[in-house]
Amino acid sequence: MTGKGEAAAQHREEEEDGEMVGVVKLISAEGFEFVIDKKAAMVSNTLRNMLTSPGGFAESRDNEVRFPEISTAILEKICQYFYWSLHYASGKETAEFPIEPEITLELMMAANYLDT
Amino acid sequence: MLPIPAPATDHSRHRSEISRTLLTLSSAFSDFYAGNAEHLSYYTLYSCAYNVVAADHGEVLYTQVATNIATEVEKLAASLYSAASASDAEFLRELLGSWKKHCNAISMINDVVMYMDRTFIQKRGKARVPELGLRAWREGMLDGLDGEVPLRLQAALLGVAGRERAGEAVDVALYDLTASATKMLLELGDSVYQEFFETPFLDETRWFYARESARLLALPCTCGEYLRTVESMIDAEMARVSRCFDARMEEKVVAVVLTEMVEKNVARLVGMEGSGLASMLVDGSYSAAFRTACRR
Repeated sequence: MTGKGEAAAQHREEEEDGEMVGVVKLISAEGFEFVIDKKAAMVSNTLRNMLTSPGGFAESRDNEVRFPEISTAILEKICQYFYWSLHYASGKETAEFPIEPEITLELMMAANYLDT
Repeated sequence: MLPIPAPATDHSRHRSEISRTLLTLSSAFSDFYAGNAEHLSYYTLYSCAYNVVAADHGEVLYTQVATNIATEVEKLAASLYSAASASDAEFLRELLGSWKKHCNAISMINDVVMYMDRTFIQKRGKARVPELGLRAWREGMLDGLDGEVPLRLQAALLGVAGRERAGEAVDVALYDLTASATKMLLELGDSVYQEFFETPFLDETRWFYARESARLLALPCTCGEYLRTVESMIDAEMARVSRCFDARMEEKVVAVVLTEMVEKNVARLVGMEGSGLASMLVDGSYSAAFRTACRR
């Protein structure tokens, strides 16, 4: 597993919907920060609810979410999955999302938690 | 590593942990209703719900959610009793404010317990959180149709039409408030809307126009004049429905007016000396009658 630390470049998007624009910070158990587009984060239903709930939780106000129980490696894989999902959502191309067998269990747990 | 659901070996510690978690959620739900949730962490609450369900206590959480919601609605109902003596507009404003708070809180609760929704609720086919919210509101606010709040609400809704028909002025703000209140009733269910509002409204309409037709027919008037009056009555009723009530009611209201004013008096209208429908057909002044007939 290569590349820990600040991940994926930020892609700027056109202004289409106030809530979809902008970025959100996901923080792993070890404290590494991943800055991703809100649109990518919303691939996870859990994160979507968090960011769009009418009450305005602390996370949506500060635009950052801490995951003290998800390790950096898993969180990075999840961010990659978000972008992969957005890219292939149109269904025109297909490609496999590569998952190393040793992280499968943790990844599945996280995916279940995040509803993604 | 996220918690893997495992059989609890130390039961009492496990139980107290669950209780603590449930308490956290319970107090958070109260915060939602009070409108101060900005300090709360979605992640913490979501994890609480997740952990409880993952430890196979979905039933406990579900029961607690239902109970919390019911309690909060009761609190809102209690605070409404004090507003019951205020003007119609004030009362409706308070009621609709509470309804909005309730809807927001339900939405937030639903978001937080999403894991339970996806797994426990769907597996057991139980009612989802929004449905629990509607149920709680129906039972807490509109229970029995003879509590203070439902009676007051009904009076406020019927009051607009009653006053306008009597020729009194009506507070303009009431139009929007009434429209929102009827929307709320519709969301609670068609049967609630009908039993609570539509049926009594149509009954009152019927009584009013039965009296009106008797009154007008006792005065000297031509058939044409009578029908023109009926037409303007229908216009007024339709305007009120479009401003204050649900559009589907328009047809029913018009039908009631026509029945009371025209249908029941057909024989008399036809035979009116010199101006009845019969003579109108003869001398060609039947446009009013034609227009009225077209309403059906």
